[in-house]
Amino acid sequence: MLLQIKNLKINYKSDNRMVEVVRGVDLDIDRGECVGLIGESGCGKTTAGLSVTKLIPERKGNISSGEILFASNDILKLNPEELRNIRGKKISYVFQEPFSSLNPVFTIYEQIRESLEEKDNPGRRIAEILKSVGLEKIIGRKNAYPHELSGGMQQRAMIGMAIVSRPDLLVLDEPTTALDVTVQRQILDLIMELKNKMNLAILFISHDLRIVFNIADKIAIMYAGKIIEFGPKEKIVSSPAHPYTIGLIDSIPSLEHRKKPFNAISGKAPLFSELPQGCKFYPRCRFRIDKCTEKEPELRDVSGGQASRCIRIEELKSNGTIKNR
Amino acid sequence: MELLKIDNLRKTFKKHNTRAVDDVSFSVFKGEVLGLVGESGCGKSTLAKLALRLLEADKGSIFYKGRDLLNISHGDMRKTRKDLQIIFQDPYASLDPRMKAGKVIEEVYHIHKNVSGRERKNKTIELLETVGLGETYLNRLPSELSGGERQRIGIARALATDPEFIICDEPVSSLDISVQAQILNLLIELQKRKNLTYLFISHDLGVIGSICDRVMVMQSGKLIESGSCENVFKNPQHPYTKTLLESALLP
Amino acid sequence: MNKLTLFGLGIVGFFIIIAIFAPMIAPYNPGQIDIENILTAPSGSHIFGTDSLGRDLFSRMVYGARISLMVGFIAVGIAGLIGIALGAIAGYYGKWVDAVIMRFIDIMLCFPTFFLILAVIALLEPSIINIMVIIGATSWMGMARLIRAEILSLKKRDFIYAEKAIGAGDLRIIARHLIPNAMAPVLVSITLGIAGAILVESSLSFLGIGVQPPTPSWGNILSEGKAVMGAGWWMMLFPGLAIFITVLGYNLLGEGIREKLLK
Repeated sequence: MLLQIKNLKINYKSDNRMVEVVRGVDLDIDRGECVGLIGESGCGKTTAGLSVTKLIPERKGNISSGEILFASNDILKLNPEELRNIRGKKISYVFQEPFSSLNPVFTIYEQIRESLEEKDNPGRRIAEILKSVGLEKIIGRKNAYPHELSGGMQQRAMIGMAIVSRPDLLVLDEPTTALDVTVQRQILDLIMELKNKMNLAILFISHDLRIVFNIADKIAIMYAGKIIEFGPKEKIVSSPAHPYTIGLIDSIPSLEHRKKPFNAISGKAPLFSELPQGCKFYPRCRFRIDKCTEKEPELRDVSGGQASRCIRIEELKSNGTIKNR
Repeated sequence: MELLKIDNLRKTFKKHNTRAVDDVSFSVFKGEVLGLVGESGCGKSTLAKLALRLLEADKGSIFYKGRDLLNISHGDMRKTRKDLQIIFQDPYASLDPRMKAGKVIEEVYHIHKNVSGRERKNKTIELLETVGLGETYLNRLPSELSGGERQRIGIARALATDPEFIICDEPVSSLDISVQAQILNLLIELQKRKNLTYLFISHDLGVIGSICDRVMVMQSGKLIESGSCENVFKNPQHPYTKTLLESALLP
Repeated sequence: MNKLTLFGLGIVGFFIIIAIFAPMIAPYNPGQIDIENILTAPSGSHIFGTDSLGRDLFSRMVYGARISLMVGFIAVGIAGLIGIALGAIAGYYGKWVDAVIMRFIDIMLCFPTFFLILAVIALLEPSIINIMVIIGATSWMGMARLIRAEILSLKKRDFIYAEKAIGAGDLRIIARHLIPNAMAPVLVSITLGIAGAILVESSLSFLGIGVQPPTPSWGNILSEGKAVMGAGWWMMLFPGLAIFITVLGYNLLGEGIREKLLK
């Protein structure tokens, strides 16, 4: 297993107070596997993603406990130099806004070359990278600056820079959210292609279920700082095992929905400083009962590789209240 | 009955030297939800602002219930604005950061003087309840509200003049999926209850499909296809429409 | 708030209080002449000493604070009114209105302000009102540009389009929505402007064409002090220090506000 996150807990600064926003997350990602991490704004997914190579600035947050095992080494115990050998080299990131991640005053060539290990004959390797991300047009254009490229091309350049060092794990945080739908499709195809070619492990973080359902092998759904459901994509799509997941799936808009009201989840996500007792989804859950407030449910296996934090899920499925799709 | 008729509308921005809106013509009929779909930069938001004269068109005409909006007096335009409202995309940018929620709605009454002093507060509370909020939101500043709540305030503001026609410019694009569903529900319910007509703009085909009767597809300032949602989704004619549908990750 | 800013705020507050409560703080009538005690050094009965007419310097300084602050505030108030109004109109309406106002600003900026003030005062009489008005009328340009810049970007925000959509008129949009949201950088300008105005008034009074005796102003006290330099060091020290500290205070406060805004 390439990456094993165990009981990760992270505090983050919010309104001048430190609040626990990742409250015990476990996640495993293997080579050649794309794990999708779904969650809505403020659920802690970006923080969790950043923490994989300790990218959270100290004055904003800290990892209070847990382990992040990368090829059996705990990242949290590495010294700065060892960490630098992993960041950008063995574990690379691609973020949402390519234009903010690219340095506007350096050409694309210069920025890719910066990440190269082989300092001699960089041109050949750069051309190789550009080709593998579909940027053949730029090969030879040594003076191409980021602002001359479209959003999609910029993101391809970012992905190129991320794979230069032939990383083992690629972490992508909302990489297509800022892009047009047609470009999004192309970037997702590119990511899949690279995953297969390079046997990459991928952590794909997004709030958009449709994208994650399309690209991931396994899916983890996060709510209020914890993973509330996890499993293989096929299982999650056809038989989701948590009321929140069901609510999210019911919220996906489509033609089939025409003018029929959505079975929307009511209310809004809780503040980390005001989490309710017991199950955190209780206030918004349509299947809630008093027992749900007793204690926060554990993430337990509910069927072949699928895990859920809902204590009622088996009951609701067997009595037909929740049907498979 | 034809509510809005747009003919050969054109707008060029000098800075970009391209036609943001290039000879666009269409009609919106009473009681329908007409969708406008296109990717960023296709001109759909510009079109929305032109239709309400928030931006001035270079050429073309805009008729609302027979009234020529480009050739009426300032005062008449102001009165017409009561019937034609708009909801914006970004709930963070569409509210004055210094204005409390109640005041945002009350300002409409101040401007149009259609509701008198004491009644203003009551009507404001009523509107807040209509959009799923309540009296407790009267004194909240936008910074104290979530994206969904801000958007509801924006909807309440649009409803304050009792409009007939509302342009929804990407009203749910900045919201989380669960909140998006809530707001779409609200918009659908309001449309049915008050017999509103919507011009619903979005880049998201799924959203368009879930709420619209007809849809128009826009690319580079031009309308390249239109028809009922069923037809356009199941039988797209234009290659761009086909590409959009293929990329849309529709379930 | 960082310590320097707090210090600046303290100084500003201190002098404001002195100015407001002048009658209660001053031990003597500032105009009270006492021939027997001409130019006495600071002592128990006159903590800042006396001037060439035997008047208590401390009392004169306290009343002088009133003048300096009043001129500072009102001059900047006038500059603010002109600058904010013109800048907002230029920014909002754009096109030829903007062009005309900007050229006007450019023309005003061509004049070396202080000499312009000197020239005008020379033509009119040096009364306090004239001074306030002329300083105000020549220092509004910076604020106008700041407000114009803010409004140029603010007016493209959706909430302004929303105001237009609900039928708000231009005046309402400019006065209630644009200007209040654009004031932040102007606050810095105003604070630093007060310091500037105080300096200009002191300079004019020092040159003899500002506040006229017997009304006490730090500038004209300083001027007197220059005339009797050897015989009365206190006459230059105290007004000089007062001007220095006040201006320092406003500058620190202004910089502090600017830093807070940059965050």
